[in-house]
Amino acid sequence: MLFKQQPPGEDSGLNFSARGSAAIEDLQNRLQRHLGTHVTLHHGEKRGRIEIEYYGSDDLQRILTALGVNASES
Amino acid sequence: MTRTAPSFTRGQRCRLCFLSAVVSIVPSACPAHSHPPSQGQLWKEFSGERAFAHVQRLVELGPRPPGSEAIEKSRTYIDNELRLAGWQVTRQAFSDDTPRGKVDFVNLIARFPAPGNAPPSFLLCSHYDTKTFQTIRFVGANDGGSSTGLLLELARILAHSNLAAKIELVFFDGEEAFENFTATDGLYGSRHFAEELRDSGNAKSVRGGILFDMIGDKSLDVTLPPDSPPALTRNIFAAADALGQRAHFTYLDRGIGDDHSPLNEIGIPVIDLIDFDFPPWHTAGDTLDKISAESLEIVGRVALYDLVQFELK
Repeated sequence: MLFKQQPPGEDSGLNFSARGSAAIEDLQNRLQRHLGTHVTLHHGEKRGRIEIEYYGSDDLQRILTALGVNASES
Repeated sequence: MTRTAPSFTRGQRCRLCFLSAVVSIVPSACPAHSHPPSQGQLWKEFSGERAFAHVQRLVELGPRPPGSEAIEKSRTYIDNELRLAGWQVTRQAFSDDTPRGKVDFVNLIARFPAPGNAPPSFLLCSHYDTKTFQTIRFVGANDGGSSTGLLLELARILAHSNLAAKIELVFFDGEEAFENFTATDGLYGSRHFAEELRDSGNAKSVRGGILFDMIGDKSLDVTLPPDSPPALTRNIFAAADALGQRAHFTYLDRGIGDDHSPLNEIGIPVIDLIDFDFPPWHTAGDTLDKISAESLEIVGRVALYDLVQFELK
């Protein structure tokens, strides 16, 4: 078993246009790793969409916590 | 005014806007909570202790690299256990060129006898070889042992269900590279199996599979490769959530080449359940004390839940 690709470098900037789809894929993979769930990143030049999947209320709570959101906060 | 946690019903979608981007948190279709088990609660029969006992027996054989006397003993053990559970075992023997010259390999393939000629439609896989080392004694309790023990315990339980006829169990030889992984060094068994399956014309009848690898770590953190087949991934996450084990299943941020890769390449979606967050990986420290029956039980039960409720429903 082996890694097929190297982990992302620390110099990953936000210039996705210049770095292409590999940068988007890299960011999507890192989001999935961070949130522990399936994430789809639809990137456009001026707007985009991030879809984060969850599998029940507990899972939603877990993801909100990972995002730093307290769901019961007033 | 106090606001409570947002309540999302299934199928409802929440979109939160940040500047020009939209972030959607999407409740995934999750039949896990909506249907009673059709096979009883088969997953509860999986015993981590039994799986661990298999791993112990394999580890007691010592290092089990391809072509060794010890791997032949492990084959005999696996073969016997499968036959005792009622499975029919075929040895897929072949030779391949390696950096160490020509080596003989043997995949073990098990099917459950059933009336009719419908071929199995789902694969459950593990590799049973251990990596060849000249300088350390590598027994592969986790890497090679854990997944094989888990698969033997799955075989015992599935034999008592009507799911068995739909499943083919595959124990791959030669997963490990002799030197460094290349297109021709490593994954010998799965590459050969995939080629044979493709050339036989039977690949179309296989709709998917699960590969188990290194799933015994006491600190269990199953790290799915980012390119895991989406449908299988969603089902595994949903199964884990249904059993209260969701926190043990996440993604790795890097791709992994493993025995699922040759199968994915011939069009069979196979998910790699692997815990790559395992510091003793490929060291002499990959020993029994690093793995636990509890971890084997978590993965075994989640896989069984997935099979019963989703993949083979």
